[in-house]
Amino acid sequence: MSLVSILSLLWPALLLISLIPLVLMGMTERGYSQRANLIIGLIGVLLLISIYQSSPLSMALRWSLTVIGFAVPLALGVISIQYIVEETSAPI
Amino acid sequence: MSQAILLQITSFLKVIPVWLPPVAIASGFLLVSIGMGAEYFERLFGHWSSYSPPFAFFGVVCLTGSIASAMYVSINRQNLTLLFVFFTFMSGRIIQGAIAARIIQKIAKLLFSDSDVSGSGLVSKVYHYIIKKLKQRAIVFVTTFIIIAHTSLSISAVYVIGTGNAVEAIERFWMGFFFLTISGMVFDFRHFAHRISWTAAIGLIIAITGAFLYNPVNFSAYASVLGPYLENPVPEWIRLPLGAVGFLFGVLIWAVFYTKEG
Repeated sequence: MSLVSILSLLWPALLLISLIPLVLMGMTERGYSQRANLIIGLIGVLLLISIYQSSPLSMALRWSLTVIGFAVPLALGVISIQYIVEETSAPI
Repeated sequence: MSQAILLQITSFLKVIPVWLPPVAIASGFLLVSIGMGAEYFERLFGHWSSYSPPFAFFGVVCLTGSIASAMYVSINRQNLTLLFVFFTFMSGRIIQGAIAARIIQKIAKLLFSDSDVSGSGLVSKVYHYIIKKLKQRAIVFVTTFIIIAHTSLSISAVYVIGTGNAVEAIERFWMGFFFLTISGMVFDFRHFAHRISWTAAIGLIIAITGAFLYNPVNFSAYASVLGPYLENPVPEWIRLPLGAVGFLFGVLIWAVFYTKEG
């Protein structure tokens, strides 16, 4: 099994796992019931299965994540320039 | 004879440890994503009473892993390595462009801020400004000296007490060069690193250094002479303009923010 095939299986699972803390914190904040938690969990599992089963969905998500990854260094570069201006605009 | 010397220099340029640029870019990217992600999670959801920093951090690490894995699959299938390196390289160049623009603006402000100052007054103002800047740069001089001394000793050790293997010595040179580039970038980042979180800043510095080594514009003058002997991923006539364009974009973005700032 090559690294690419392992990572192809890994990224959807990691994406869904990364949403768990956010969803749980949000649900606790809003005071949803146990049943709502269960429904959200089921939706998550169904989503994961559909990502593995549906090639277009998987591809669209993968490319979205890829674009985000490509944009991260450039975005941070632009944000840094904004901060350079803000931090150094004080008089000499 | 000259051919032999040329080939020796060429082989010297070629022996950058192969693993160094990709590993630097990948690890830098992971640090940037985790640093930025944690910052944004904190900003967006930090006010929730149920917000738990370790729990949120776990989510950020998993999201970073997902983005990195998806990117690796896409890059591998479509041969996009060079494009990603280009993006990282450009982010480094725009920051350098902005820092250069800032320095020019400071000097212009110094020279034209007070119209009454002229002659000896201006000279003393410039003198004090240069002394102040040199004092600020003292830490960079000391760091550079330590890295150069360590690298030189390390290379000498290969011949004096080591195996005498030339490739090992050259690899140590490139490691020294890598750390020198990092120290230079850290100095440039000192104004704003605390604003974007140190994890993201250090990650960006490492990733940019990796991208610069992957595409070493600093060696362009030599590389163009030795062009036929080098196996460059990007032709030289493309690399130089790319660096210049990135730099100009940096100046432009800086000018936009500066104008908005007033």
